[in-house]
Amino acid sequence: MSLKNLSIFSLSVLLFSVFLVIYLNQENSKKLNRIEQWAKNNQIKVDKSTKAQKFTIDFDEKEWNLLKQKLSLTRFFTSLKDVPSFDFGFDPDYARELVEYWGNKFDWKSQVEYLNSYPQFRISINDTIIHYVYYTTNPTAEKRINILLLDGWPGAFFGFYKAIDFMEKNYKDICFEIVVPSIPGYHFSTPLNKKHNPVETSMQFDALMRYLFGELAHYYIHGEDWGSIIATTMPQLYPSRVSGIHITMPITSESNILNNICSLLLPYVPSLFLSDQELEHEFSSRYSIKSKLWKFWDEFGYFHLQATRPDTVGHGLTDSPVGLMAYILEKYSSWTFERLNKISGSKDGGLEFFNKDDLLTVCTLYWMTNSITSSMRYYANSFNAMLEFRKQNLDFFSLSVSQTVPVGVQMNLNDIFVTPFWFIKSRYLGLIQYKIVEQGGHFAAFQNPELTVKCLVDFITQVEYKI
Amino acid sequence: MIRKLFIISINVLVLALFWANYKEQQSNSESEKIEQWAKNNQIKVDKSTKAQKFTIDFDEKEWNLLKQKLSLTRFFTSLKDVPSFDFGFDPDYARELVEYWGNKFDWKSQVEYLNSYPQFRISINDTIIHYVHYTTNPTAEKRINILLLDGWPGAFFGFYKAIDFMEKNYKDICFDIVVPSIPGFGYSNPLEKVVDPFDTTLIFDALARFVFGENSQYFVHGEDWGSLISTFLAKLYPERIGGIHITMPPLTSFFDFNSLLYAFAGQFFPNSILTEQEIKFGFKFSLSELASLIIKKTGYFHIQATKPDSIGAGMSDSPFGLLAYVLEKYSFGSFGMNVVGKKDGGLEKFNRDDLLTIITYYWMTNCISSSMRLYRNAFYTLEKGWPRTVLNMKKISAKVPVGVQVFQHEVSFVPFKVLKNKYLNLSMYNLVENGGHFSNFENPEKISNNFIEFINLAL
Repeated sequence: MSLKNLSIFSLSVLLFSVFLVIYLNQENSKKLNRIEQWAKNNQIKVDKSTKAQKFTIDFDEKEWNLLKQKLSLTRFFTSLKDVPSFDFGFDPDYARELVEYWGNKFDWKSQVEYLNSYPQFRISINDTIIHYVYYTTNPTAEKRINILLLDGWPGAFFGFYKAIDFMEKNYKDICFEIVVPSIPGYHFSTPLNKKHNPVETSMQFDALMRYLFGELAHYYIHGEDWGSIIATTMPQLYPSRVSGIHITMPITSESNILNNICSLLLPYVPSLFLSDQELEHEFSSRYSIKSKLWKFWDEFGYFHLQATRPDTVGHGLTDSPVGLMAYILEKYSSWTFERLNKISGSKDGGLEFFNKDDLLTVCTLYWMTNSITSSMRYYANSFNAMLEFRKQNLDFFSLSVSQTVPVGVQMNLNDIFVTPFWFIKSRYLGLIQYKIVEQGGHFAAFQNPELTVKCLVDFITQVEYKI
Repeated sequence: MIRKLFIISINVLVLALFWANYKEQQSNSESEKIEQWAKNNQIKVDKSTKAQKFTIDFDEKEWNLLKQKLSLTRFFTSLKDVPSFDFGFDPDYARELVEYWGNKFDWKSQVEYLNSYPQFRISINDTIIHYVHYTTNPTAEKRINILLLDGWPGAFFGFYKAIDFMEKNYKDICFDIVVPSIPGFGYSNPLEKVVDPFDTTLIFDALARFVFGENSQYFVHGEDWGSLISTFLAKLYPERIGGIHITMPPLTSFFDFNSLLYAFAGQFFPNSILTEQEIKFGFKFSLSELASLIIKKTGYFHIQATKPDSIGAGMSDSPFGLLAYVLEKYSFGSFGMNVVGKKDGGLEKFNRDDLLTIITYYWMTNCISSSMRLYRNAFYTLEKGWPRTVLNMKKISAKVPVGVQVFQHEVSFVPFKVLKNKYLNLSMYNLVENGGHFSNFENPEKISNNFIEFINLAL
């Protein structure tokens, strides 16, 4: 099919879609109102009887010795000689190196002390255990900001510790009331014996904020990975309470037919949709349909498996430390660095950039809490829930976020997907800040705590002082 | 309503693109070019090539290490509000199997059983191939050469019951049987380079020529990857392949204009494209059915085809992980979605020792990672170019009879009317009630009978 024919065909579909969009926008507002009403009716009650318990992580010597025993019995396999390392997934030779370090040099006891450096609590909301860090920076400062820091998979709550430290030292005139909850099923938000999805998480995290700061409290949200999705859902549910959201992973493809048609056209007329800065950073190829489809194929095997059969892959990861490590750390590699130059053929998949102890602390945390399977089940639960909600006409995952809620986006160029401003704005109607981070990856606060905090606080400042 | 319109317009666009592609693929002369290429690029097998006898050792040290690991297994809990096997292999049942495996399973006896047929190893194209070579009823007059091909996660000894059945029930035929293991599977190891299904096809044909003779004809029975390799053999060497008998027509061959048109029709007029029997069996072939198959059933396929090493690490190190991952296939693959809600995922229907022998075989040969790499190799070697890039889509010429035997719970389904377009000499087509993907394992007698009937028809 020639380019001319394709363009004519696409343009006629485009015109058709314009009328569609007008119709859909009206539907959109109606649906958002329904969701807001549903949220009010289903709000979780938080009263005086709800009590949070202080929580400290134990150094469990017995479990640590069992882990080391298993590590010493690790059975490896060999890499292929005629392909670049990391092309087939986590390189078995580098895995061997890390396992040796983990079993012989890694000091879990010190890491536990580090993990305990910020005050933690556990609370039961809606029969679900939620673990969270709650810390107040510069308590005497006049300006008070409540903020939720949300992580995802395969992240960990302490990934925000450096960011919290930076916030305290560099913004002495602001008192940040910081809450870092773990999604039910993750780490110490366990055990979890029933299904749980992002809408429920959103409701529970909102309940947690009302518990801590009062029924009428306002708060900001910074969200990465699942945290971005939760941060997108919370203002749909509680537009009057969420002061603003700052996210690294905006979700846009479900929402808008026009968006999808335009992404088809993007490679041919990039300047129609992209800013100069985006053109400079090759967004026309990064956001093309071809690139997106390739990414879906090449990087989403884990997603596909976890969204359909989490327990099947869970067994090996629950029982084998190297299995857990390879599976998780592969993401810290492929979602942080550029593939061709930094990962393919490299000895370490780029991971030497990170502190080895930090990476192994992430793995050991999943290991000690035996939470890898329950964390993966979140994917299957979310998809089932999405279909259920759609049946009830509560299309959380495809509706827009109202204009009244300010949105800031930190676009990390090495992240799994890159989305241009124009497309984000079509769903996040209150988009007021959009920052491109050149060497940034998926684990924004973990990799770049200072930069991430700067983006976040700039955003909050903009909203607070209406700049 | 709008959603439906949108889906339809996307379908139309996709079909149009395939039409454009299809036009290019149409020429018959290309098939001839491929056959010529195959002749010119045949792997040489001469007198210097030697096969070595092979016996499986009972490795006591490795067996004890396995048991030690099993005793240290760490488990997790099932969710209370979902049916068993809904999220994958049930953790409670896995625990039960692990306890049996570590305490009651007798691997030594199983090794004796695995050695009951003569085995060999040979190096072809610098690749180690393990195979069984057995001749039934050597004094019978009628001689037929056959290749039995399995797939993932199968095993060569899955065919043992079939071989035994063929020997006892067809005393007037001497079957010269070869059961090779795909490079990277089991004892076709170690494998340190990329070998894809196409390479495997050339290697298996070389093996057949080595065992049966340079110009000898042979028949092929193929399941899973074996089905795909069988179709490749038929397309590359139509002169020598007497016929192929397959249980799973490879779905990748049917993403062409014609077949998608049928799927489109099947979306709106489901019964128009199916035979009466297919309708009775509840088979469906529609766009939404294909989409549902791809989304619901192929998570493992997707990750194995992209990041096999990431998932291989855990299964090479944890017997429990290996068991759950592999036996989940024997559950869903044999019984379909009926397993959801069943405490054992249907697996008690099989002999527990048989299942654990398969797992222990994957464990002892440390081949789970190398076996999964085949999936990635199948896609990423397309960059090697022609004829790999086109072979999948070509038709099988009328020179090679094709017999298809599909079991009710097979993982994928392609209707008779669609198969006819690709397999120009579709001489047999049978549907079998109550059977699943692992045909040699579950129904050795049925596949043997059907295969031999097919061969007799072809001769």
